[in-house]
Amino acid sequence: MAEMNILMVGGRRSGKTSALATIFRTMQDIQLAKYFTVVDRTSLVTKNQDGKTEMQDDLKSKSMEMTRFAEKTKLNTPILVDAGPTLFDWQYRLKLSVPGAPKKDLNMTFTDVPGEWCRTTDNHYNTFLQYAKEADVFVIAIDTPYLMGPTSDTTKQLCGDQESELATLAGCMSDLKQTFTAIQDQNNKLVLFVPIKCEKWVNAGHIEDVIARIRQAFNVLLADLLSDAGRIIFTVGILPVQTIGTMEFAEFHDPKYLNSVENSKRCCVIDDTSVRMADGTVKPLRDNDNLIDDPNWAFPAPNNAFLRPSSWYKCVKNKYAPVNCEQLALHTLRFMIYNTKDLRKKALSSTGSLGVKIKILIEMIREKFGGMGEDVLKTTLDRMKADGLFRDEVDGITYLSNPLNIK
Amino acid sequence: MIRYFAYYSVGGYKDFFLGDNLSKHEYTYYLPLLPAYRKRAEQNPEYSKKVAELEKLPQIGLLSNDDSKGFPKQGEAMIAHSGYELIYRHIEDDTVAICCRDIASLDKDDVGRPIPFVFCLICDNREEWSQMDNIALYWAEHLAEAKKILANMLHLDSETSGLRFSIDDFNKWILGLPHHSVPLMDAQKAFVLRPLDADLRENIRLQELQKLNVSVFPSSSINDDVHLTLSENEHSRLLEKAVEKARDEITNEMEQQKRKHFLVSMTIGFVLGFLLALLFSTCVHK
Repeated sequence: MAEMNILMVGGRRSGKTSALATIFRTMQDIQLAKYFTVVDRTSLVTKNQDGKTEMQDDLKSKSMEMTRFAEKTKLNTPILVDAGPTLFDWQYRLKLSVPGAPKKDLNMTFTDVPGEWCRTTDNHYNTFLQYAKEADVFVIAIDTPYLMGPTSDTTKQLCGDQESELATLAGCMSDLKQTFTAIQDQNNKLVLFVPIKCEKWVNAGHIEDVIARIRQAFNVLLADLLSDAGRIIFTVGILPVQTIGTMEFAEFHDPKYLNSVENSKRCCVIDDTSVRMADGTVKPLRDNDNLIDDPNWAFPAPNNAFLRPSSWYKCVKNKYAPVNCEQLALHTLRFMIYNTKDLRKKALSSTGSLGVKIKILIEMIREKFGGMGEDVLKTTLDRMKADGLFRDEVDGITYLSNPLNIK
Repeated sequence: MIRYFAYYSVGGYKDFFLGDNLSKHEYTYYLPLLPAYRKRAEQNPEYSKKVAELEKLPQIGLLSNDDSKGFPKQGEAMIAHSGYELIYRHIEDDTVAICCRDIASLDKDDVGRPIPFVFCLICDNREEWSQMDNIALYWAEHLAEAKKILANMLHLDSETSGLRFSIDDFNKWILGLPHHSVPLMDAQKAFVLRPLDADLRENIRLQELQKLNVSVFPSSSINDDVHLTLSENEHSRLLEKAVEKARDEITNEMEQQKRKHFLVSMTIGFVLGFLLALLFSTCVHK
C-alpha cells in the first residue's frame, strides 16, 4: 500500500479547503514527528508571476492566513468570514515516512474540488465523478451553522425548514447518493461526515445535537451507505473538526452590500439606522445609502427562490487552536490498514478475482522496493494507539458502520 | 460564430454562456436573485415592478451537464484545470478555442482579494479562425492589459444585483484588434502561454494536449510593458523565433521524458511478465 486517495466533498463554503490546510498543518505538528515524517509534496501546477496578487493559495499560505485571522481579529465582534471560493480542482500530496524505515513512503493525495462540482447537473460533474471513482476515502464537509439553522427558533426563519433546503444549506448533496451508486468497485470505502465550524456547539456541550442532526439531514444517503445492497462496503463515521478553534458562529443575517456590489462592502442590517460591515464595524445609515441584495447568496435551482443567509462569526480568543483536524488523517490511515488487510484476505482466498489478486501482488512487490508496507504502518499505528493519539467516541467522533471492525 | 464563455464566481463558480459575436445586445445579465424576487413579489407588490424590469434584460445562459450551450466537451480541461495563462488550441474539425485564466475580477472577497475567473472563446467555423488568430496574438502580447479589459467588461452590477457582461463593447474591441494575414492556427495545433515555474509535463497532461502539435511560450518571454508596433513581416519573424525557441525547449524535455518512459515501460513489462508467470504457476500448483 503506497497510495491513498482522499476526496473532499461538500457544498460551497462548507470549509473543505480550510479543513485541508489545518490537516496538513497539524499532521506536521511536532507531536506526530516521532511517529511520522510528513512532507508536503504538493507541486503547484501554476504560480502567479507578478507576485502582487495571490489568487489561489497553497495550503501553507491558507493556514497562515487562518492563523493571522485568529490572532488579529477583534474579540467578540461579529464578522463575516468569506474567503475566496475554490476555482479549480487542487490536489495536495502528503508524503508520510516512518523514522527508521527510510524509502518506505505512503503518499496521501487529497483532492479538493469546487463545491458545485458535486451536483449531477453541474458542467464539471463528470470530472468530479472520475475523482470519486478513484477515491478510497470521502470526506463530506458540512457547514454546521447551516445544518443547525433550521433547528433553532431564532434562525429557522432565515434558514428555512424544508428538508431540501436544509440539505442544500448544510452543503450536503442528495446527488452524493447518485455518485456513490455510480462507483462500481469491489473495494471498501470510508465515508467521513465532517461537521466544520462547530465550535459553538462543542463549547456549549451540544455536539450530540449536531450528530443527531447529521443523521436526520443525511438520512437518505446514510440509509443507502449503510444498507447491504451494492458491491461497495462502506465504513461510515462522523468526525467533527474545528479548523480554527476560537471562531464561534454568532448569527445569521440577510446578505447585503452597501452602495456598491463592485467594492465588496458586504454588510448586514442591524436596525433602521445602522449596518454592520464585514469587519465588524458598525456604520450609521445615511439618507443616500443604498442597500443591495448580495447575489452571491442566491441558491442554485431548484431552491433558487431562497436567499441563503450570511453567517457571522465571533472570535472568542486570539489564538489559533484547531481541534481534531489531525484525526481526519489518522482515521483515514487506520482505515487503510484495515482495508488492505481485508482486501488481501479476500484476494488470497479462492473467491478473490484475478484483477484483485494481481493488484495485491503488485502492491506487495512495491512495498518491498519502496512503498510503506502494511506491517510498518500497523506497527506505527499501534504505537500511536497505545499513546492515546486516536480519538474515538469523544468530541462527537463516532462510527455508524464499522464492517472492518476497526478499533 | 464565436461564442463567449466564462467561469465566474457568483455564489460559487459557474459556467456561463455570455453571448456571441453576432449579438446585438449592449449587455447580457445573469440574475441569480430573480427567482427570489418573484417569490417576494407574491407578498410585496414593489418587487413586481422590479421583476418585470429584470425579466426584459437579455440573459446570460448557465451551462449544465445536460446543456452545454455549444461549449465542446473536449474543452472542459481548459476550465477545470490550470497550468496555463493563455491557451489557443484546435478542438476538433473547425472548432478552435482561446482560453485565458487567472483573470483578477473587480469583485473581491472579504479580505480584499480579487476572485479569479476564466474567459473562453469558442469558434466553430474556419472562416473566423483569422479573427481568433488576431485575438490570441494580441492577448498573448498584451496579456495584463487584456485581463484588465476583461475584468472591466464582466463583473457584478449593483443595479441588477447580478453579473453583467458588456457584450457590445467586447465585440467592438475584438473587431478592432490588429489584423495579421499570416495564419497562425491549423488543425491539431495548440499554443500555450504558461508560467515559467509550472510543470510542463503536468500542464500538457492536464490540458489533454498530448496528441496536438504544441507550441509553448513561457509567459516571461512576452513583455507586457512593451506594446509592439511591428510590421507584419517583423511580427511573423518574431513569432517564428519565439516558436522556435519554445520548440527547442519542448524537444529537449520531450527527449528526456521519452528516455525515461522507455526505461519505465521495460521495467513494468518485465515485472508484469514475472507476476503473470508466478500467478500461473500458483494456480496450476493448486
